[in-house]
Amino acid sequence: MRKVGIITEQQKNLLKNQQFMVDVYFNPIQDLNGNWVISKEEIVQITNANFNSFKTLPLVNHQPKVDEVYTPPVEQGRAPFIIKNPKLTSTYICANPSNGVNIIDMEWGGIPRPTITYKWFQLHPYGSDFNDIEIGQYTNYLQLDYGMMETYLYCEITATNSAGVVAIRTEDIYAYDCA
Amino acid sequence: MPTNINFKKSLGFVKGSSIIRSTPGVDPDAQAFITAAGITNATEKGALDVLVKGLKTDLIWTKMLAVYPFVGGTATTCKYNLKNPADTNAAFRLFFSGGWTFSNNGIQPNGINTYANTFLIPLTHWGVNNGSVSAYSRLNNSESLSVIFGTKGPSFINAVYPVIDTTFSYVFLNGNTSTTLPVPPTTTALNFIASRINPNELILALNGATAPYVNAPIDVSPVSIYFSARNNNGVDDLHSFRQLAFGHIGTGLTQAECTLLYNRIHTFQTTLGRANP
Repeated sequence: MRKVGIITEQQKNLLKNQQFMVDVYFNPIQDLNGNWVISKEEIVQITNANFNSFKTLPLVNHQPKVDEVYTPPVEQGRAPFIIKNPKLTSTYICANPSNGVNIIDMEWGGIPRPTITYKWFQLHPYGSDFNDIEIGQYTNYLQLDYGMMETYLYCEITATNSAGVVAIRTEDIYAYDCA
Repeated sequence: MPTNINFKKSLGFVKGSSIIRSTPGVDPDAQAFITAAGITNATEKGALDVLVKGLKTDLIWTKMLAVYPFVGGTATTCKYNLKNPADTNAAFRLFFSGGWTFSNNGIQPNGINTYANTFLIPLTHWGVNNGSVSAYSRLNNSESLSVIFGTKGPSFINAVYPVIDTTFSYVFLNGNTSTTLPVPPTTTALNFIASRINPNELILALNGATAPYVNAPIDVSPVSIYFSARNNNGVDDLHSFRQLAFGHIGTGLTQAECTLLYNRIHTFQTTLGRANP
């Protein structure tokens, strides 16, 4: 509990804006019960001899006055935004079922906090005129398998909140033939 | 090849002259502050020099109206404005009121009756779409509804203050519509920068994570900005007990400039051994 010393209104008028130590000034305030008080920190640090008599002021627990009620804030949503771009634990990896790739170090902002979804794709072998192939994996971890040999893979990451939807794409991963 | 130039004469290095000397290589603005505030610690002097040079390199020095590095460990050393270290209200020298304590870690308010008046009035020095303010708060993360700087006139239409809480935080900057902040850290220091450079957008930065938010301004406060409390139309209230280790007030900063400022502040605190982390 923070401590204060109770003073009279006359003392308040005497102390207000007077230096109690070099470059620091008294600031009497009213507590919950309407008493004028100065803080313990002011009392114990008095170096101005004019106010030495206040050094012996009894200390009591401070009962703070409730300050002006806050205006209720108006919340404004913010669409998801990327703070830290995703990294992959590997971008060149053997297409073997014992291997996998993780998405790490990614950070999103947004209000409210966005939810993140993952969708892994394989680049279409016939080029960009064709839609990439969704491979049916939906976490931040890609499990390799032999069918991915000599293909490029990536993840589409989507962040969603009530203010918007934002999608980004990771770097490509090359799954090489190590059979 | 001889140049026929008398360097000694042209550069004014006349023996016995009374040219004001500064430590070689120290930025003159940093030196002016060091002299005015009476800073003697070599680490603090070096950190101030690096800070000023860095802000100049980043081209944000000219956007600063007041910079408070809170070094030296006394009210006298902490009251000066790095941008204009004169001991006057017009230079935005701080006026410490209430039960403050001072240390090499910065300025410690008591949360009862403390505030630091900057004498910097947004109505005079900002535009409705042009202003920035920040504070680096080392401690205390347990404080709820913390107001580390603030001002407002008779109504909320020109309010400027953040309300920092461990669960729900928001900020006003030149208007009565608040913007919700991401949840601030609970175990580390908190650097909060708020800036406005164009209509309908507020730039906020929490520990370097900077982002724009949709928020329209209304008016500019006619009373000065306080640190560690709100200047509620001339009356201090919402007193905070978070220790502060840096503060600034300036014209509007871009998102990139907010990031640059955060980096400079963090480097400054690290050099002084008071970054957290």
